[in-house]
Amino acid sequence: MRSNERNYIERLLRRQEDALTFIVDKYFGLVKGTVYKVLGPLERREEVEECINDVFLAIWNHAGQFEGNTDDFKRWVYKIAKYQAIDYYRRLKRREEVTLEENVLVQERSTEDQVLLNEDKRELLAYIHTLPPLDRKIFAMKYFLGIKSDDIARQLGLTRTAVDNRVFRGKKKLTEQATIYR
Amino acid sequence: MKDIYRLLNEVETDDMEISEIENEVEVTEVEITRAKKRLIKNIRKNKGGKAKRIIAAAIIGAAIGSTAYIGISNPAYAASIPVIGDIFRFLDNGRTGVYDLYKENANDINMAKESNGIQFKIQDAIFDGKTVSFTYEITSKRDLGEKPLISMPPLNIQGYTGGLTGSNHVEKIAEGSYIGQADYSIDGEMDRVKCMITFDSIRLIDTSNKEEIKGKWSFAFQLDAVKRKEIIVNQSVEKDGFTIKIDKIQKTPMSFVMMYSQLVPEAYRNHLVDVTVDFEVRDDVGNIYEGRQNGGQGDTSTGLMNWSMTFKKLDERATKLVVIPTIYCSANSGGVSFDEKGNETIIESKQSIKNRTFSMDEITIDVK
Repeated sequence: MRSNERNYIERLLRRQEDALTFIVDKYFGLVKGTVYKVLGPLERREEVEECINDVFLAIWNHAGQFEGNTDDFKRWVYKIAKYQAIDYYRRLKRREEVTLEENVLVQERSTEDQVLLNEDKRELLAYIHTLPPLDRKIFAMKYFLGIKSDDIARQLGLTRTAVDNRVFRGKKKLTEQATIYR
Repeated sequence: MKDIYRLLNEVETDDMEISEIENEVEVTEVEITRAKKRLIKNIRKNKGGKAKRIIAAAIIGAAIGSTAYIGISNPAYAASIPVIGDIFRFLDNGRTGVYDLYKENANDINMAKESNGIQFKIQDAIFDGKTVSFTYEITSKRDLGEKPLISMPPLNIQGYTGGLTGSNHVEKIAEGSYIGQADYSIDGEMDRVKCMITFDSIRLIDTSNKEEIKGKWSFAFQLDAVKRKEIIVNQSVEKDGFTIKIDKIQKTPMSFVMMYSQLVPEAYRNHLVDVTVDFEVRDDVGNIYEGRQNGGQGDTSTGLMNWSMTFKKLDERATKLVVIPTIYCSANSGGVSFDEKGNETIIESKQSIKNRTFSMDEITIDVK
């Protein structure tokens, strides 16, 4: 019994290794393309490879959290790739900035951005779950997938202002909470 | 609290962007293979104890044993899941397309043998009535160089005493990891073959010190020929004393095999191997077929050689095949041979026949 179009998600859930290699065959292009779009400009080949590896590992390790059909699975793979790439990007950029201009960084970042960029994303995640569903979506798109406000607006059928307002409101709440936590 | 990966299910995506990315990205087989190697290593690292895996392997081994006729005198243990799913196709790399459907029709052999710290694993094998084709993986802790020379292992087919022709191809896919594919064609046809193959040497020719690693990697398995449909052709064309006759075609689920013979004029009889024929093969629905030469057997006294070629699966819509033979007479059949120690000897060409290339009239074959 080998993985095929019909059974690979089920086999992935049962942790059959061949499901993972099937997924690599099927989605390598999508993952690579997505990661490249984000990390390509940094010209760090090793990190790109590392990130691609992490995307597939995440699929393997968190398969149980996937919900939906095969079309949804493709989208889920894409979102993980984007999320991981953005995460890498932020980490790499930060490392660069910290080594080059540590002082500037500290002065220029606002509280909410610092919280949002916190390596441990649990805080942001915990906070996101206190938001209403639409705001939750917007926050995840903006901060986990790095999607621009214009595109979020287009995809959700909202105006750009509506998206910005929700983000602004959310960030304000977050700053308050962050202050309480400190 | 929901995890990020669960949360991602809810987030909208731009399907246009997904298809844009898929269309633009360029991916090579080598990249994919590397990624798989790395992942498998990563996920196995986190898995449970070794003992557990051995037990699982033994059960798989028994299951295979009952269906794939693994010789009892050759106890094998089941190997891990292959890194490259389809070695046939990977090594053909789109050059001919002959192997595109081999994997899905092949028998899972999945037997591994270790000797001298190097593991050989036969992955898939298939027999089309004329040619035994199989794929294998070599895993080694030490580097075997970019292109190790695996001499064509002798294939022993029980009850068959004729000659064999064939080819063998090995490629490195990662550090210490190689894949190969071999084809052996028999004289005539059979319905079932009991095969015994023993690899016994790996020659390192491109590492700093040339060296031969000896070992014994033996495999035994039985293959039934795939279902075939024979089309008798018996049509020939003649030009300048050369005759090409297509005897028959065997349609299989993954290919078609064309058996043909070649008769050369008297002046060429001592140079039978220097005369080869290639075919342009197309059907009446627009496909062009490229083939794999399986070699042939002949007799210098009569000047007759019997050859066969294998092509990718015939399009089911096709009703006719048009075949144009081209004859090549090569005066420069010299070359270089290597002895067991890797010493080179230059074979001078005999220059007694002239270089010639010419096409013959087309042959049309009804395939419905």
